[in-house]
Amino acid sequence: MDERSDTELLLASRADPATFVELYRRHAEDLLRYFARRTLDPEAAAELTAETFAEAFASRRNYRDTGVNGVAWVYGIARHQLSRFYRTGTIEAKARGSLGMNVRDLPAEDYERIEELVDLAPIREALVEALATLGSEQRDALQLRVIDELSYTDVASRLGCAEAAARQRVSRGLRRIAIVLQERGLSLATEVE
Amino acid sequence: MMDTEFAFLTELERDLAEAARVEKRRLTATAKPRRASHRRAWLGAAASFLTIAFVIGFLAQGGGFGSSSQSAGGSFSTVGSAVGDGGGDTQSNRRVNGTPAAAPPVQAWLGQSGGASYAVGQTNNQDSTTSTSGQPDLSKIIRDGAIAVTIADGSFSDQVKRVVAIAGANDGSVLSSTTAGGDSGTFTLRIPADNFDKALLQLRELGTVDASEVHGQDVTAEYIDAKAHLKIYLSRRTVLYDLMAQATTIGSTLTVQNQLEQVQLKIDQITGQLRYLDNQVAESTIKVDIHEPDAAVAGATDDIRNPSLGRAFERAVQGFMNILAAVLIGFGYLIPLLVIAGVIYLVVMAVRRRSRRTADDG
Repeated sequence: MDERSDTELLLASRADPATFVELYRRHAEDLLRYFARRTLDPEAAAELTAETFAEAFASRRNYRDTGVNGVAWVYGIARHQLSRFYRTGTIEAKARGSLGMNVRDLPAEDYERIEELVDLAPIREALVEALATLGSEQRDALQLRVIDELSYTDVASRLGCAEAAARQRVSRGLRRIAIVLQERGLSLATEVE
Repeated sequence: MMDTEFAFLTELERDLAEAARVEKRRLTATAKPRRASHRRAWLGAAASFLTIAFVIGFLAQGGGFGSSSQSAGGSFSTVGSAVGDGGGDTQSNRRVNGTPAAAPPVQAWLGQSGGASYAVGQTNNQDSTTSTSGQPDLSKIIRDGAIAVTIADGSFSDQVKRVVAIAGANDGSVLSSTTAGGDSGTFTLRIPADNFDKALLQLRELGTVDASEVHGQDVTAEYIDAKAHLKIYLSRRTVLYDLMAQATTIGSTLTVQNQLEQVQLKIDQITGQLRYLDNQVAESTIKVDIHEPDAAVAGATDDIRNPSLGRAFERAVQGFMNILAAVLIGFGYLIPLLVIAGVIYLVVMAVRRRSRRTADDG
């Protein structure tokens, strides 16, 4: 167990890039949760987590120790990524591309685990209103999954599509809703993990 | 590996670790070349800086290195004076001006090396002149001299007038003149032999004498020989005139006439030669070089004609100092610019740092 602080790890990673991995180990799950609660979309949360860490690694030489914990710098990058996501509805893969990292598909088991990180209860009413802004396919998939709380297997059978397609419809629908809620000033999460 | 239930995060950790390994290899591979390239860049920058400083310094000096290396010696280099000016330099007559030494040596002519009976300032171009022994003085000596004088700053125009005035005051004239840059010039004076020493003394008063030189060429033997030949041809012509008067046939007349023409031609040639010698003896040539202290004087070929290790070393040192001076002058121009560039660089860096910090915080 590396006992160095986040700041020390970031500074050390300039000369020893492997040190950055330790920082990742410490904060990856928290950042994933941070994104999941703000995007409602497991795919988006996973991609944003990957892109944030990739960008932090690529630009770690720009980090300056200002007395604040080093991870705050990483969350600063996360906020930029998130605001870009809200603004454009897309997630860049520029940093991962520059490091030669693949854009990986989210494994099915992770999908549901990430969903569990998101507590949708407080926004259920807002969700119903936001559902009206979606297309019929996404709205049906979301209604079955989020409102009726069916499994993806059941959602797929109800919609008459493959499970992966059902998951994608839910994912896209959630992403859209997250953006709509953000635009209406409804905060999806108030705390930074 | 991190302890997580998310397979995605484990894969992402693997990807980041691989990126870190690649980065580490790249850092290791580029560390040395980067140091070397940094060193090369610094060396290049230093060389460029010096070159720029040199160019600026060179241009700031007006595209030249001044004239100190050339002005002192002038065309006449470091000859002592052979002129009897009452001073102590009359013993010295080292010559470096490229012209073969005249015979007899000037010292002999000046009566200081023994064997000659002519006195300084004596007129030598008159057959009728009598020496102290009472014998007719038939000596024919052509004298010429050269003098290089450093004159006071800004006095070139006045000194040119003085040179012309000296020539006129001694019944001579300025045969030719060359000036350069308004601060140096070379003049060729023709001065009656009687006034040669006087004129030279006056020229020495123009300023500080860098070098002076007097040549004496004894043409007495040549003159006497020509005179003798002339006498013979004149006698022969008299005989031929008599024969012409006695000739009774066309053939003999033509023969005598041909011989007479040849004799007359010889007489004319010898007469011309004698007249030339008389003129040369009667008038001396003085080459005068005057220059202000910092004037550039063309005379570098002297060193090529008369190579000297000592002079070469002097010039090498002087060249080194000139280059150094040019670089220093260039520094004077560049340093303020570098200070300004440094301030701009620091401001830009501060602004960039602040904007980066703001971005990180925002």
